[in-house]
Amino acid sequence: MGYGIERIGGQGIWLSGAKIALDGMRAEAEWVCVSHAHADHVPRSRRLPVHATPATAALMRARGFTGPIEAIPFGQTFGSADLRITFFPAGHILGSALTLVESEAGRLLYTGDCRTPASPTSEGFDCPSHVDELITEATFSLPIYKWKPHADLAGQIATFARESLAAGAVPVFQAYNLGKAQEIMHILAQAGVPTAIHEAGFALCGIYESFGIPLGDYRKHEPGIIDGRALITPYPPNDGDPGRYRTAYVSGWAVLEKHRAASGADALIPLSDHLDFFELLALVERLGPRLTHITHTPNPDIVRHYLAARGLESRYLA
Amino acid sequence: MKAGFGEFCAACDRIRAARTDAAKRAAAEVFLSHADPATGALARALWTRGRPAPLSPAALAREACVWLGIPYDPVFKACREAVGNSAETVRLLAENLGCGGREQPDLPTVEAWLQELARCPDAKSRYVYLVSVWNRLPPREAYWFVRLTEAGGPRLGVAFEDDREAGTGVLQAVVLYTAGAEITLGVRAGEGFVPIGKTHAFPEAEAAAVRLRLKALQVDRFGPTSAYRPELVVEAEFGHLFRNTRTKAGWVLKSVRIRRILWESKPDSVADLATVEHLGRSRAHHSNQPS
Ligand SMILES: [Zn+2]
Repeated sequence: MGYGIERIGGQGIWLSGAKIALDGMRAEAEWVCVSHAHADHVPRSRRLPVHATPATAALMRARGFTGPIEAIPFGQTFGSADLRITFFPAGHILGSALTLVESEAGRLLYTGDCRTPASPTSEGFDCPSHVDELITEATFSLPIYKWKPHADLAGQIATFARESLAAGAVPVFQAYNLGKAQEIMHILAQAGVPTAIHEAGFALCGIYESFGIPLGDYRKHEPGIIDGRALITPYPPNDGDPGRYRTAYVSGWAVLEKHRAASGADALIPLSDHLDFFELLALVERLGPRLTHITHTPNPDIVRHYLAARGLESRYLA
Repeated sequence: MKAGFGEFCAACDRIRAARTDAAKRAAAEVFLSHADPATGALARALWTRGRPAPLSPAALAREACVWLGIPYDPVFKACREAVGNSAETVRLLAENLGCGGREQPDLPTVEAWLQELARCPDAKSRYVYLVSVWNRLPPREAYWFVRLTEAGGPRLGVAFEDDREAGTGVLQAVVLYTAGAEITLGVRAGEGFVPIGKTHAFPEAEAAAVRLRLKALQVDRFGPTSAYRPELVVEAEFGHLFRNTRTKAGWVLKSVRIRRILWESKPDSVADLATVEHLGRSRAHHSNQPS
């Protein structure tokens, strides 16, 4: 008997054979697992208890999730006599997990969103040595995406902040308020640059620190108050004088020049929370699954083309 | 620092990233300050005019696929769809797949290559030559080599005042109105814009993109005349600049030609009335000189 893998609402996946819902909800689910606290992966329904890592549980609570959560540390197995579930650190954001499901149907790994080498503001990356089936995200699913070494990108962030401040401008890092925002703060903390962060992101910073991630000297951003800090916000500031801001767009999509005009940013810094195309292929090769299910992707065909060339069978989980 | 082709390309990257004309000029000046006079003059000519050679994006993509060792369909096609153009797609793929050479020629050598490419008698020999250049240059340099062969040059939005030919002037203006084939250009006056001159065509290669952009900028229509939000910036070349007190600007441009569209420039980089006044007076002064 197989796992019976199918897509459900939003980013969710339903394993009908094991009655496990991953990043989604089904009334008949026996197990609901949440890979990480990004909104598109957290189920809307609060009917059943969800399983998540302690950091993901804390972040979900801080973002208003009111349903029951069972916090399960990395490496600790839960489930039943014939079904074992284990979280591995996924390197995407704090708390993010790969989910390993083991039963007589085989070893199945669900990546959620993942990144290796891991974000320095996550618990790192670790995965099982071999799986039978893999369900993987492929956000950056084209060979035009290959990340520069993290030290280079961190250097770009620090330099942009210092040069903007030296020129009398406010450096603005346009970045999502969970994950990317704290990674930029962590990088700027090491560079000795104080920060102000948009309030939605500010509410999550204490959780990062309680899990041992230093974020340096920061405060909540108050519109209109500018005091030599770098500003971290998902929205470009629009209070009056645009001349006093210099904006960096920090995202894997920043690889593409067309985002310069589209984002209106002064700098494009391609720091991503996800695997690049080549890291994705390497991860699949390393796990050696009999079948890979490609999901969360704008373009599955190219990944499938390259996996086939490596003798790895795959399908698109639409 | 040397002022070789690698440094020239690094400057191209910085000019493209700069958002104001002043910042673009400053990025160009960094390179020029390290270049000998001949290399500097060559760099200015390449930035403003390029060395056009008849390459088609479709053929370039086909040749690039053979060179990169990837199938056009599905791989290159999907990548180009995401990137938006062939030249940048080739640059990213060459970087990521480890293709290209390591030569660091000086600018005059690359100028000779560009001329050799333009002299190729047919398409086949042009692409053979292009691939030989790709094999010699790193991906970034190969990319700017291709951009220099485009009609109108690489369109980086960097202009040099002393670059204009005798008798003609250049200034940046915005498109205010069109009526049939007539295009009215404007310059800044206080908070707004006033008409400064008329012309009849956009650069042919850009015409379709301009139509699309103007459609988005259109705010009003009266009879055959359409009015636009003053956001499409152009580099206009003109033969004469006359005093005309019956116009709001007080000056009028004649024999106007749009050299190129400055897609990345903001309306605040457009010439203002003080600049026009200055330009008008200095031109009058020059034309009074005995020749
Ligand atoms: Zn995510």
